[in-house]
Amino acid sequence: MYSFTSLSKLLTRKLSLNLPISCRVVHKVSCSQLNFSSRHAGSSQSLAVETSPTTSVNKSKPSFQDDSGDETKLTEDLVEHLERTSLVHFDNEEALRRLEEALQFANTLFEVDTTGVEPLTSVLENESLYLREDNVEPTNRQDVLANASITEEDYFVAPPGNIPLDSTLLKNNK
Amino acid sequence: MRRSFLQLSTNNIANRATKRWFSSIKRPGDWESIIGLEVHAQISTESKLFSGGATAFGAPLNSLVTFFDAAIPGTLPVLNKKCVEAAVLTAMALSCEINPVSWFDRKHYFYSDLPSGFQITQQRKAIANKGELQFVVYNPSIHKQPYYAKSKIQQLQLEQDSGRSLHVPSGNRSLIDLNRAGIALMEIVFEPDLKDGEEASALVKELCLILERIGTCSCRMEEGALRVDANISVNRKGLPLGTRTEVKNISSIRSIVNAIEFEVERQISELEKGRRIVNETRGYDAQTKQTVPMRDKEERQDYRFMPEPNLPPLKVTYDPGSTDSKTVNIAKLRSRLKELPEVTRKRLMKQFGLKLETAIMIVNTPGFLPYFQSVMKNIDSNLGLRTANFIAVEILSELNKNNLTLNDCMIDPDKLGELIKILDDQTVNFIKATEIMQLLLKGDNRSPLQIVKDENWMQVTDSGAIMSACEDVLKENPNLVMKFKNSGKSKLMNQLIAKVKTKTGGKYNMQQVADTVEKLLKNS
Repeated sequence: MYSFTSLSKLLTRKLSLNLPISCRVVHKVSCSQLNFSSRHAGSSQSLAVETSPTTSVNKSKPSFQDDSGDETKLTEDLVEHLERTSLVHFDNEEALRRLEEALQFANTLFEVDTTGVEPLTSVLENESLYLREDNVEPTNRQDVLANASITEEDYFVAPPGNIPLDSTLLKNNK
Repeated sequence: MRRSFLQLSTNNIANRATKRWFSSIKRPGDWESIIGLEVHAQISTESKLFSGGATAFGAPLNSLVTFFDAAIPGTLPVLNKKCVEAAVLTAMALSCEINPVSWFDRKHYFYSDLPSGFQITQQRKAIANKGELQFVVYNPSIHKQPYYAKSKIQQLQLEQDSGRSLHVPSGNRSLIDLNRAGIALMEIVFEPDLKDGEEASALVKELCLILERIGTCSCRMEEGALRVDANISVNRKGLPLGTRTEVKNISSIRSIVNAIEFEVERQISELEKGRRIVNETRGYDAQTKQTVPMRDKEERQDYRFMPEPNLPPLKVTYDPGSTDSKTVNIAKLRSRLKELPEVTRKRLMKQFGLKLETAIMIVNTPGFLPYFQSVMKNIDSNLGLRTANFIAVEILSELNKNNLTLNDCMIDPDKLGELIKILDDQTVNFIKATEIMQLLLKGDNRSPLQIVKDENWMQVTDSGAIMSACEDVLKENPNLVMKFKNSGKSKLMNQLIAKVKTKTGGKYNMQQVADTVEKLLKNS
């Protein structure tokens, strides 16, 4: 039931392909990142590519240990909530396990010390937003309604109230 | 600390800001109510916030929808400069701190009238914060005198409006019109520092006056251009704030008072019965004047705020010397800011020696201020109070009969000025002045002095003429005189005075007539 892709879902997919750490997408260029590489340059360990997935950049911590406490605990309520808000259906145990792994993997971001660093929300942060003049552009009702399979007297037709999520399906699968 | 009403001078405004408890609506026991408002004001621009769709009200269904508004893939938001200018003007009028850099975010939720599944808003860094709105609270039927209150503004942000959904009564579908989707809104979030419904409605009235004055919002609540949501909680005096409920669907200024007062009373009665208040969203039903539950907020709405990736930061500058028209320049906008209503009130009070109540009436009544100012242009300032009262009492009542406002008043301001002058210097008496006003309202083109000359309506103040007229009337009505002598009822004396008025065509000085009749009756 993949209606649209969200940022978190993209992350989930990419991570499940078991990419080595060096290929991880890192947006931030922070001082702590530089510290990490210099730390390893002087160490005795070789900079070999990892052969199995690991969630921690710190070698002393064993892989896949849930060291961030209860936050990554996937309770039934949380899963139902995630399904409802992301419109992604977790069919089986395997899917839930992958979700757990993805969460633990993402949690390694917290190991980076970001105190005093302004978060980067867009690489265009030094640009300033283009402003357009207040002019009206022509609009065509037929074009806009053309994609709708059902219309009623020039209205779009939608289910009543909120988009329903059939929660009985989820409960039956568990 | 009550001051005598006579001692309050018009200049000591600060002294009039007496403690709230003196004027507020009384709650039972030691209950207090706290209200915080959230106002959504549609910015009046030609096109929408992020697209070129038109913003006209009442247009044919789905005819003002661009591909971006309908969330058809392959479209991107492009910000409307006039919307940003409107937000900056409003922020200045509300004494806010304008942030030189602000960001847009996505607020995700599922609803049929939100085609993209998210609303582009400003959550973490809005265009303005920390402002304040000072306003006068005065409902003559509740408050003994007007008092000043103020509400702090937490945030002013730009955001998109959603479409409109029509729920079919049979309940099996909703019909969606996206004309409204994408229209620019200013969300103004106030701190919870209001005490009752009257203060809330006074705040909204002042906000509407300001927004209309600076031209950023039409404030037509009936068209949905201004929407008010109220967060309401009650607590016993001295104890921490109670659980709040949010009341939506308030569609007129009068409803603000009714909705808030109902909800406060409901919460107090629930708590006194030992039940607890649920943090929920309630809707106001104007028909039954009650609030009803809408959706349960305890079912956490997870908005999953994230930065809008398609929009770089919005930067506004302060540069008096700049000629760049591509950016929003606060210095240039400041000069566009018109005089705010409170400044006008204080100016009127000083210029014409008016009381606060009169200044409120002039500034707050639609059409009054420009009309008043054009009348006063050519006549003496100390006739200000007389003019204001004449317009308020005589002219407005006539206009109201025909559902007109002072914007449609046909009496030329210069003619009215002349009329006030001749009324003040006793050329005509009040009765004839109102008759002249009636003629002018019907479209008479003559000047008041001309009418007086033509109709021979000049006031008669000659004591000899008055005496003889009174004596005649008393002679013609011996029965009334006899009845008065026996009972002394003033009603009978008034009847005789009225007879003098009709006999002499109403142009005699009525004060002198009354005095003369009274004297004659005493002596006869």
